[in-house]
Amino acid sequence: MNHDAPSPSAAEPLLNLRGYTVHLNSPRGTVRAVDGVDVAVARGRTLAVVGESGSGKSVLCRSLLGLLPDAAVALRAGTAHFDGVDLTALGERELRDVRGRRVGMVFQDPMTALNPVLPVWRQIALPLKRHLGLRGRAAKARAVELLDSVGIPDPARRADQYPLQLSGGMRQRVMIALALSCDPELLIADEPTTALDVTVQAQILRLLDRLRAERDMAVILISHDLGVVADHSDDVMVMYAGRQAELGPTASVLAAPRMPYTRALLDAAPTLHGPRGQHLAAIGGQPPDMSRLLSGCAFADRCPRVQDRCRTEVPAMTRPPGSAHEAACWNPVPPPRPGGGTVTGISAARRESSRT
Amino acid sequence: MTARYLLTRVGQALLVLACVAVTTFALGRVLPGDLATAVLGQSATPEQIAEFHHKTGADRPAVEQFWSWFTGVLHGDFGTSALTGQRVSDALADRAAPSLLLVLLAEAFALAVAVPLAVWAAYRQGRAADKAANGASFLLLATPQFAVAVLLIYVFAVRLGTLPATGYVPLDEDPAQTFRTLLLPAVTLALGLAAVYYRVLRAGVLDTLRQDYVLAARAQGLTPRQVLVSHTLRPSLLPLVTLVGLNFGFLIGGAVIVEQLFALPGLGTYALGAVQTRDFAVLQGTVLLIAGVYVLVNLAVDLLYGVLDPRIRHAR
Amino acid sequence: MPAERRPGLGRGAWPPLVFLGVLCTAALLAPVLPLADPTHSDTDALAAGISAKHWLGTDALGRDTLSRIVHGARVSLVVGVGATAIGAVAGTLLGMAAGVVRGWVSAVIMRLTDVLLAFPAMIFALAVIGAVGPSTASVTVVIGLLFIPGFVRIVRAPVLSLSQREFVLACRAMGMSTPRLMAREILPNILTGVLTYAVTMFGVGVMVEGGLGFLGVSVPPPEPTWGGMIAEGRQVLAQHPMVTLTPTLVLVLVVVCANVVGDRLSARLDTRGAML
Repeated sequence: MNHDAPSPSAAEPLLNLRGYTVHLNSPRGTVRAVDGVDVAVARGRTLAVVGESGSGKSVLCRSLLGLLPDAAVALRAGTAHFDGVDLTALGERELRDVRGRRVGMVFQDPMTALNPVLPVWRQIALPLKRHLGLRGRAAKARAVELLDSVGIPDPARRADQYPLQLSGGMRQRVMIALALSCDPELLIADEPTTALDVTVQAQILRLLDRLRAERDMAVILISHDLGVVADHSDDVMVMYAGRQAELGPTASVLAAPRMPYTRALLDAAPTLHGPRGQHLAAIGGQPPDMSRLLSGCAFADRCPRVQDRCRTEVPAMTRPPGSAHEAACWNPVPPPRPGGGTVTGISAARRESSRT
Repeated sequence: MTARYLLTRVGQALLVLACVAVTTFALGRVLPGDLATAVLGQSATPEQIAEFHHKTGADRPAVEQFWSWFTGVLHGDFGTSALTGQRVSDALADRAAPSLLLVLLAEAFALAVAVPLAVWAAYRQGRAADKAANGASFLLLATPQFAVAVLLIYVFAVRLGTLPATGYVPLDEDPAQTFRTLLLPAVTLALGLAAVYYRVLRAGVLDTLRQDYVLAARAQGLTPRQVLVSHTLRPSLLPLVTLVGLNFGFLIGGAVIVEQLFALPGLGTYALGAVQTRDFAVLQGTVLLIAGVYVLVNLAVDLLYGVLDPRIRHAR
Repeated sequence: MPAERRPGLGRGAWPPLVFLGVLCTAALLAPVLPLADPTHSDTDALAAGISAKHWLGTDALGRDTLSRIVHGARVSLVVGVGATAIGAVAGTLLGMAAGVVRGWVSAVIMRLTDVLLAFPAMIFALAVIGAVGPSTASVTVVIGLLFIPGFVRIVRAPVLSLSQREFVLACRAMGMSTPRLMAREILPNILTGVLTYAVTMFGVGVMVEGGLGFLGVSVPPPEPTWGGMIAEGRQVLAQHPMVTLTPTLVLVLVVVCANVVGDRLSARLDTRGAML
């Protein structure tokens, strides 16, 4: 594994994962949910994590904060330095001071991630009390301020409402206000727009961009939508079956993917007029059984460029010749001819749509 | 929660009460035996019995009897006991206090034990504490009230002699003594209730703990206490609220065995006595009052639902 | 937890089933078993402890406790099974009717169950038994009646949602009559839930019979009942607690066993349901 090549833009990364590995217990044995991930995020920058469901994106983020049930985790290895402290070495109590206070988290579906029986402001007041000692009127005032800062109109009235009285976009804004309530340095957004309408998606993503810039926050944006990734991230990490497939500056990865999996993702990505949703199913075959120890590349069985070596040796992350980023592939896709490229197409189309 | 919904529920409640009134009345007519012989003795002459029937109105047609009783009830007059001559409404007022205190105390004890235990057991699911609490609740659930009562009497009244086994001191005479006399019967009821409440609430909390918003709450760095009390308890409480209400209604006159065993002058023993002596005015009045409390409590629970869960409040 | 769930009821369900089975067999065969006469007083052994002659001791009148428990089981078990059967059959029929046939049928059934629930149960039981006289049959019927509302509620909710499902709608569209629809399509779908609830209610039935016996309104003496034995033992509780404790223990054990079986059953059926 290549340990000395963090993301090119990260001078002093806020979060730095080295050989980060999480194995989970399942009825069918141990699942290698996250397998040897090396990645870093700096303040003020957004790292997108892309992959199919089950590729380990969410497990990666949840395990960082110790949110997985103890009984579910079979093994955790590697290091995860956050502002110089290894998160993997922290106990539950110490992690509790990190969660919410220094690392905020936004979940996919704000309908289920907000408590249906508590008024909005009370939910925000809880972390304010826990981390900042704010109580009573001060907490409520701060909650209203936060709602205002995430663009909720008439925040004083909305604060007293329950989640089900709010629209989907409004709920996700509340979720973001909640995640940002204690000024975290890192925000983890786990598919923050998947459950939302397209027009609302764009608003939420622009809100995240603005807040990141204002607060000089680092953001990890988990997504399976390459259009979103193209417009709203600085770096991107593509994951497949718990392993890194490709990592580097977003523009470079999407314009010139070297790992055939990324290429396939891009080819399968919908255009503006195409159908949305199950586009990743367009890649033939199934992801591998993750409870098996794979001797070679996890993508080998589905890969159009597969070679004998792919089935016997695990490829490490390296920078293929002529590339601005890293990929884990024995037989990388050749860089495209200058001028061509699907990504610019998607990207342009997305910008078009987000302006309306 | 619309006014229409409220009106329907109140209408249903009144209908149920009317049916209870009719059923009680009918039940009274089919009971064999005659109050007259109980009052006048076996040697009473037919003339004496007829005169007694005339005096108590028992010789009039059943529909007429029902109607005069029913209109009386609507005016707050439950009639008089043929046995003692006491006004039933006065007797009910006296009898309601021990029953009400008993049930309130029992519910308070049960909730005080069951709620924290259920939340804690669910949080520590599968650990030793959880298993011990589950086993205890299982055993309590299978132990009939009268067995619990007998055991408690044996331990606290017979062996230790620390608490009185029978008797009741009215609240306005000596509140401390009232509490002491109610303690054993209340604990008897509470143990059974606590077992049920524990199981229901534990299941509810387990269900809530799997919700996304609990994960989100943990992701905010909240303490387990905050997660459990602020985020988990309230959404888990709905089934428990129903049960507490139901049991309140059941026990207000249904704790017959416990009242009997501990010699508490409550509604249950009053009705039991009326059944045994065929004192119909007393039986009808007591049953109606008990049913009324049951219906009222359930109505209140329904309304409380809306307060507890905004989903219901805004959906209806 | 998924790992614990094996097919079948699991090993934990067997001891209670065996215990209940042995008790049932003993109760059934009580007249031919070499037991002491449950009403015979052994004046040499009043409230005696365990001995070779009296395996579980005797009560205050010197009657053999084991024999009385086995004979008492005849009442307890018959009432438990009978009352549950009455409640289950009537409750299931009414619950299905209330779920499938909307409008006034449903309204009438639901109000009737409300009335039955609002009626103080113990007083209802005492009054009815007082009216028709205490016997195994009357005790069984009265407790069975009291069980009906619970079964109606258990049945109606799933029937309401089932009657909106495609296959039921399809049967309707093909012109299947309502009774046929209930018997053929809906009943099989709710039977498991009813069965699970019934097992628990059997235990409750045994407890309620015990309560009535304790108050002296179950099957009258000299026929032994568990509730009656516990009540009689109270007279000598201070000196001879075992006279009361032995039948209490048996009663509790029976109910615990029923609850364990019911619990296992519902755990198993729940997973099945989740897989569908």
